[in-house]
Amino acid sequence: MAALTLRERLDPRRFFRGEKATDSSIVLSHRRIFIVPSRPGFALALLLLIQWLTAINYGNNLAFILTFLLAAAAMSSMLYSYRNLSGLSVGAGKTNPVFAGDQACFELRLSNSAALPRYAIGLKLKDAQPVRLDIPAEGNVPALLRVKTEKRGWLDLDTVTVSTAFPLGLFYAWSPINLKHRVLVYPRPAKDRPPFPLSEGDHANNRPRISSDDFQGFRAYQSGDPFKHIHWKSLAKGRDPQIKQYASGETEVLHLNWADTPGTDTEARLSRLCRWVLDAEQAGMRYSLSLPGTAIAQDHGASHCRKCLKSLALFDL
Amino acid sequence: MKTPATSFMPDRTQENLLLFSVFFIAAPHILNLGEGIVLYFSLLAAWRLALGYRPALQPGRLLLFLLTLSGAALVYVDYHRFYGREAGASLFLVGLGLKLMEMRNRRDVYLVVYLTFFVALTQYLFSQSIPLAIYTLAAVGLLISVLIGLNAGPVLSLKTQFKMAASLVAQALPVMVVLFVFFPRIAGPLWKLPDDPISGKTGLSDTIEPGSVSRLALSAEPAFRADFEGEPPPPAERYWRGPVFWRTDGKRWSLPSEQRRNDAQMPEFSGSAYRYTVTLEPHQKKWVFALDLPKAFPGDLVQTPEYLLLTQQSINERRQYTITSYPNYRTGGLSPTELEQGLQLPEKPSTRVLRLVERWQLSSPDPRDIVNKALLHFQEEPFVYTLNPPPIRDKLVDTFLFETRKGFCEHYATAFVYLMRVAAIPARVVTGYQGGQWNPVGKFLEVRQADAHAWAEVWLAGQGWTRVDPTAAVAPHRIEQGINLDQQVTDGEVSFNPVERALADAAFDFRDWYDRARLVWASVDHAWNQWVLSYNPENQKRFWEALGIVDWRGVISWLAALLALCGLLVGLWLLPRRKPKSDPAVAAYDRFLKKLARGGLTKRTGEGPRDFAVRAASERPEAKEAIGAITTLFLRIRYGRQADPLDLDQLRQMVKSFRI
Repeated sequence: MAALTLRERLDPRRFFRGEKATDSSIVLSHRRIFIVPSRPGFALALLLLIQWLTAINYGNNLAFILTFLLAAAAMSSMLYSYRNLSGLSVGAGKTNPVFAGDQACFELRLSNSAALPRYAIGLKLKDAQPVRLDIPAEGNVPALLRVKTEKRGWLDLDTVTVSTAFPLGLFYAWSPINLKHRVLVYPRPAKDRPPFPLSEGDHANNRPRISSDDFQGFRAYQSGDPFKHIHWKSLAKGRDPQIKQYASGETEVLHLNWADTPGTDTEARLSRLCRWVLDAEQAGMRYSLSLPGTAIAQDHGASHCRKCLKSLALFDL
Repeated sequence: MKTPATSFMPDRTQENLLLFSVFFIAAPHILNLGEGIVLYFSLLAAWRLALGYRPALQPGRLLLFLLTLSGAALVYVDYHRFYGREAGASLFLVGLGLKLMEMRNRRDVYLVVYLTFFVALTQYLFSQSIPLAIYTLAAVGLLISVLIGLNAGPVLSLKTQFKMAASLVAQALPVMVVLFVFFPRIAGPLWKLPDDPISGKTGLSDTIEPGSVSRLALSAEPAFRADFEGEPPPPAERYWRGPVFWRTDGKRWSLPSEQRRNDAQMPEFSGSAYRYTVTLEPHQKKWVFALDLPKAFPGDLVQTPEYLLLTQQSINERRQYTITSYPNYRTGGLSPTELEQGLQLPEKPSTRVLRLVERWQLSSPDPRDIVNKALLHFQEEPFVYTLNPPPIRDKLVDTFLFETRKGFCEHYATAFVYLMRVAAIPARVVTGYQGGQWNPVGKFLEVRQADAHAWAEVWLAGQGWTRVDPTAAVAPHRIEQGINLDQQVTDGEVSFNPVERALADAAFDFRDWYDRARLVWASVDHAWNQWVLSYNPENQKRFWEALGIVDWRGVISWLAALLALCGLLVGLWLLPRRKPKSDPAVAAYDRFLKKLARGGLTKRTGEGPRDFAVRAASERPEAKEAIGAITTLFLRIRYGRQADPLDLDQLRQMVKSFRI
């Protein structure tokens, strides 16, 4: 990690916001770990003061010894707290796209290269349920931080505070870390199920058939094929999964177009498109998507669906 | 793996461990506080234990309130107040018990633990012995392990928890020593201490009556210890001066309520001197026991006209004084007051006393001869030196001299002084200690309460006050060998019942072993007193001066430097937690990669050894064979089914000889 400039080093925001986000995993070191007494720590300080005054008043040397011993144990517990974080490496794990309104799940990978286990490590992220975990010696543990999403687009991981109060709870050691880690948030699918837009040149049929009944034959399963087209009977017989193919005529192609969505609210229009993409995919139809500045040719399948949703998510951002 | 951060105790085991530690720490208070209070605390602790299994037993608000009231009442009934050592310690114990009953969250656990630490501290106000110190050290370790368990959650095994607590305490020890020695001490007390009733403290009293010295004769408690610079005095010279008595009402001897101004002249000293340091046990009086007669002593002591050294305040903690005494001295003349006091008699002596003294005076009017006659009288008549003299109801001296003739040193000393006064020789009674046991292990003289003694001083013209010990005439071994507690008990001399006597006989064989163990223990105890317990502001100042510390800056730099050193040591202990040494095969392969890198060939991240070998061989065809061989060997060792130890040697050899 690059050395900090003096200005960066003295910036008090470093204690809470951490340093600039990095791509690679972050190894916690003395530069990133901060430590202050916790509430029980301050309470202990008060106790020690009272004990010290009592010791002075009675001129009692064993009372002095007890007081100093406790103070010394508290001080070395600070080193233990530091050690509990020091050398821990935190990296970004996998993420899956979510729809706005759902919970995004950031996976962090905590890996401990040391020969000693680390106990009671807490992970805190704004608006997320804090996580507390233990990491075995030379072990890796995933930590899942779930955040409620509001807006479509990329959701960047905010500052995660890795902290510990182990072993005595008298000191709170923490390290704010910023990882380049993000989750793609798709638009919130519209709640109602609006009718599919009419394809051009298909004015005869008001609605495309959701599921065509013109059975054509079987073909081998490809990932992304809708489950409901799997020929379960043959699968149950132990054969490779087969897909029932239906006639997909011209009328089955759905052209999802920005211009076809009613209203002026961009988000509402995107939500509607999102709903259409999902429904069309579920129905096993082929569909294309055109947004101002983007056009995705007709296709179907999971990756096509993801592609469409991604362009919806990032539209105009 | 995950535990909610709000759970206050990880599990039952941890809670029981906490209860056990609390009880463990509080237990020694049974020696110090009223049984009622200890019982009250034990009941609450047991109740709390039961709560863990039967939550329905949780007391309601009203019951808790009543419990609080009854706890306070218990303390008040026992001590009639809420402050002071006993009452304060009781109050804390009661509070701890009550807090146990309403321990509901993490904060409460910390409060209980902190209260327990304080209860541990209150025990030191009663005793500062080595066993208690070790006991509490263990207790502190236990409580720390409770905190570790509280913070770690259930993943931590009890064993790891204890181990971690033990190493935390071990690492804290050097820092504690540094703080103990260097943390600036302030002379207490900061606020006025309530007059704590002193209970169970034995020592010389400020009156003499039958039994006032002999009641100490079986007490093995140390009175003080003396470290001599050079040889200690012979037993017959070991007279440690305590309070001096002039006045008697016929039954008891008492000290004047007010100290006379010291107008006595300094005695003439001659001969060799003894320089020594006495470490006095707290005896709640101002007397500092010095060898007859002290000449030089610390400036904060004053000397009475009777040559007794006094402190400004009662000695209620262990104190040390360095004193120089001369066994040969000659005091000056006698003032009219002293003459009057030295001849004071409570009433007209009985005729048999007068007749006895007249007989002595007739044979020789010289006071020295009369003194010797009196001593001879004690020696030749059937006087017995015993701890259990028959009680005398009336006319103490008269009955003792002519009828019972059995007594302890206080009987002999008072009777002798009485006789001298009847013979018109100024005399007074001196109490103090005589003898002491030389500890060859620690090289110091230990004087126990059993060495308490009373003797007489007569004023002789030309010589001044002269010590006469009538006990020596009756029981010379008492002076020559000192009082031997074990001997007394085994010899039946001081025995009280036959069972004890039988036990004493059985113990005879063990006496030798026991004596030795006692000596070792006494010297350990003395070292503890001298080096640990008597380290007070004055000693700290002296120690700082020896180190060349002159001002607060010096203190701070020493403190900072030593604490930094301790921190560094603890840090070094804690921090080397690198991965264990990697696989030797990998290490050899890494050396091979390094050699290639020097030749301009670097393995890309993500490139497997095999792919890299192909690339390397194509770029360096001349080394193709070696590269291939090393890679194959490495892969075989790493991923092969069976590792052949010879392969590793071969790999190392090949990497070593690999050139590019």
